[in-house]
Amino acid sequence: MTVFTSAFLERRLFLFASPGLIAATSVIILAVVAVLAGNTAVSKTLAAQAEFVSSQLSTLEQWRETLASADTDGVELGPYDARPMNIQLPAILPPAPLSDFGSSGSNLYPTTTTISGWSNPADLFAEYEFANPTPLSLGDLDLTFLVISIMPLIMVAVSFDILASDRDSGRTRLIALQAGELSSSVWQRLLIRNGWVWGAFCIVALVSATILTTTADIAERLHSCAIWLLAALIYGSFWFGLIALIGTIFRKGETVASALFAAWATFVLALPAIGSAFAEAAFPPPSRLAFLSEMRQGEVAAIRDTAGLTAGFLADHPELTVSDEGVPAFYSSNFLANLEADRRTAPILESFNTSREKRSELINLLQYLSPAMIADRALTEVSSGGSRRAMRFQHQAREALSTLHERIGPAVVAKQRISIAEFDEIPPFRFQQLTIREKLTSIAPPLIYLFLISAMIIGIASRRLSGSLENQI
Amino acid sequence: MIAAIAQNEIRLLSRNGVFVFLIITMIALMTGASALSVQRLNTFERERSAAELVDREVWNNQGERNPHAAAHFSRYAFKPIPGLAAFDPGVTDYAGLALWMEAHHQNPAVFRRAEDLGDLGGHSGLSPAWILQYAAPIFIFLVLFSAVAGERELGTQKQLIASGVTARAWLVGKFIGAGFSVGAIVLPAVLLGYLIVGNSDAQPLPDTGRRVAGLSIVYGIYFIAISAFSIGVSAITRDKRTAFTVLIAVWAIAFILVPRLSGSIAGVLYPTPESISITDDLRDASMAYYIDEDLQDQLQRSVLEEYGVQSTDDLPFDYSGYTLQYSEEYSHPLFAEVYRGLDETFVRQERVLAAASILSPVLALETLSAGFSGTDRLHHDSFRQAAEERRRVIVKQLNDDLTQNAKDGPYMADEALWRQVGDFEHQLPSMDQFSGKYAFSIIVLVFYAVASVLFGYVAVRSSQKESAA
Repeated sequence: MTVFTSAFLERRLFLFASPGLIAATSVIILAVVAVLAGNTAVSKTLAAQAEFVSSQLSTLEQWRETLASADTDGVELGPYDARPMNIQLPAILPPAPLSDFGSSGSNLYPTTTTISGWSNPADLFAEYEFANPTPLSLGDLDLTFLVISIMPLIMVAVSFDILASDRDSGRTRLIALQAGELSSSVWQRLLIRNGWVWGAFCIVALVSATILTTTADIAERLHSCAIWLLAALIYGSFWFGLIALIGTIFRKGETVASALFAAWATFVLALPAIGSAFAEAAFPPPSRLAFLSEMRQGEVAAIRDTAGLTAGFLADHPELTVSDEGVPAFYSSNFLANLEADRRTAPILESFNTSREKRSELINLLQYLSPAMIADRALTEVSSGGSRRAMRFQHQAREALSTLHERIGPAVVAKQRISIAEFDEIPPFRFQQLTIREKLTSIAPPLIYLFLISAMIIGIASRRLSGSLENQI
Repeated sequence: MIAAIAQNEIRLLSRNGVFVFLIITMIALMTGASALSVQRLNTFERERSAAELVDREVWNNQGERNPHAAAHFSRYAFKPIPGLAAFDPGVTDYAGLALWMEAHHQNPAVFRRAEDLGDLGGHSGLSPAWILQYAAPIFIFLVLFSAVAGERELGTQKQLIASGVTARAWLVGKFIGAGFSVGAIVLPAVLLGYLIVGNSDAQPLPDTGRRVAGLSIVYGIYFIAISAFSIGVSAITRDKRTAFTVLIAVWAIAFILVPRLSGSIAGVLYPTPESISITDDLRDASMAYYIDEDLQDQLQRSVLEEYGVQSTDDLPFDYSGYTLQYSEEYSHPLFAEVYRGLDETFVRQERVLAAASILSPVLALETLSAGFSGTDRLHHDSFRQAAEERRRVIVKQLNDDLTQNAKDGPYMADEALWRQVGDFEHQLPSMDQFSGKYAFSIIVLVFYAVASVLFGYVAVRSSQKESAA
């Protein structure tokens, strides 16, 4: 049977019949809704971040102008003016180039902070948990969710009965008689049907990656999109193989559908849920409350140790407790108290983060339980970056805070201001994201594993289809 | 005759290997999920109790300090998790577990467990409620999809009609058989789940009995709706394969797609303001007194006038302490305004979800299940409000101490004062506090049950008539 004959048959039976049109239309509508929802969320984040940065930079510029007026024009400054402790650097985690393709929990994490001498690593990210927990717990409809959960169901719906219905109608006998074999016809028809729905999906994904761009770096967005689609198609190939294999094992359409649905429920729902529950029980996340307790113990020890320094000062109300002459000492003492809190709490924070990373490495192994988990992790890594990207941001922001403390520390402690040149040398915060190569290194092994599993399943299905003709008709 | 038909249904089911497999799977899933949930909840409770003790200890041992500096360090309120969270954790992982009761700031609850679960956190958690909400309907579909269509395909439906079985008797017998099968799948698992969940160390809700009864009723209604709908679909479709396909398609759309879609639509229609802008609003509320020089002058004038003195130094108390408390109270309605705006957005978002429950009854059930379990946003908000009330008491206590004692120069309080500051104790709310909030979800669920039973009845009757013809 030629490809042309298969295409002709599918054109009549599927492509331009109601099942094919409904399937393609559903995919397009869902993908467009997912893209628009993702794009709206990213645009909102970008607008808020732009406003935040603009406001912070404007304050910083005023600070610099005040300092410059003293440096160049000899203007006498007020006690609180242009103090290095009041330098506030904005730090933002910009949405990843393809983050509208899958938010996947990244909206849980902070994306902005202010780096200043008043902050310490423990309180750099605080009070950002304002979102409504109800929709958060439901998750978002994004392209990643469509690929993981909905596309396999649509694939099953459009192709589970290719063999069974042909057997029932006697078409398999006819094809076998004419072509002498069944295999190529089944593969071609499976390819046409699944290619139809995946084609519709890929077109929407590509168009949105090209047109609805939210990043200045179009090339990176398109590169990411290509890798994302490749990962999605590898996952699709797993289901493609499974549909073919189960179609050759069971003769009745409803049994094929039941088996495929059971496989979907197992791989997409049950195994991730069980894996997640197991991971939480076997490798519990480090306790935030225990972490808080340790931090508070560290802070109170720092408070007691620096009581002599800060005696009488109210950090938030210098106007009530500090005379004009005492302002430099006020800044100096608070900076030292902050450093002490940093010194006390840094090991606790480090230990908490190490424990979280170790757990993350362990539970990453669980992804091999299910193709859906492999694909989810790969697609998330390429699109929004998920929790790993958020943790990277927090780590880099803390490094930037450390750098700022090093730059302004000597002047603050010496109760002096810094020079314009010194200020200009303070590096602004720029998030260093993983390169595409680094992302690929991380996601390639599980994807290769998934590809090999898919190839193996397709191979077994092919052997069964090419086997005894009597069994298949 | 009805009994004979029902007995036959039950006999056929008990011989069905798939049915037995489903019962075993359901029991295994419920046992595993309940045990894991209880373990998780006990860990929560252990961590919370330990954190409360440490917080008290740290607070008492902070040394000599200015009371207002202590008010900034302040204390934490730790959210008690109700025992029924082992059945349905609701939004527990997505709402904060601790709240810093700091002077001048009404903070949100922090430490959402979902943040620490990594990328696996996005997958559904395996809880008994999740199994009953999402997996049980699939099991029911698998058992009942062939209830009528199967008999029609085999020709037994015609034989029964020919032997004089009335449509009513056949219908009632079918429903009894379906009730048995659903009960056999769900009840042992649920009872086992209740036994395990009942052994958690977490705090009981004040009306746990009523809540458990409520949970049993809403889940009962849900299963009646699902079962009747399955029989109806089996009756109106031409064969088993179509019945199965339709049921699975309905499940995929109503249970998987619509909840996610409604969450996204709610977020697009009524976006939550970015945390940066909320933080700015709260900071503005916190600083409202300090940036309003006219207000400061006015306050000073009125206080001096009230006490008939010329200078704040002549007042019988420390004026700075007085202004700290005044500024605090001045911010209260401003904080409330920020959170009221946020709450209004949340309510609108949840209205979208409620509207979507018309298409997806599982959303209505989720709302009711989390509500009865005391793990929804409303219950979380009661914690937030209780913590805010406690914050105001603590801050006032410390500011008043400063006002009374700092008149004669720098003043440092000690452990004696810290010990006077009481712990945060939150009595978990009873359902009476939220009466009316769940009415719409109850209406939707009852409507679904009634409509499904009617649909099943009409579909089976018409199937009988067709077969008889």
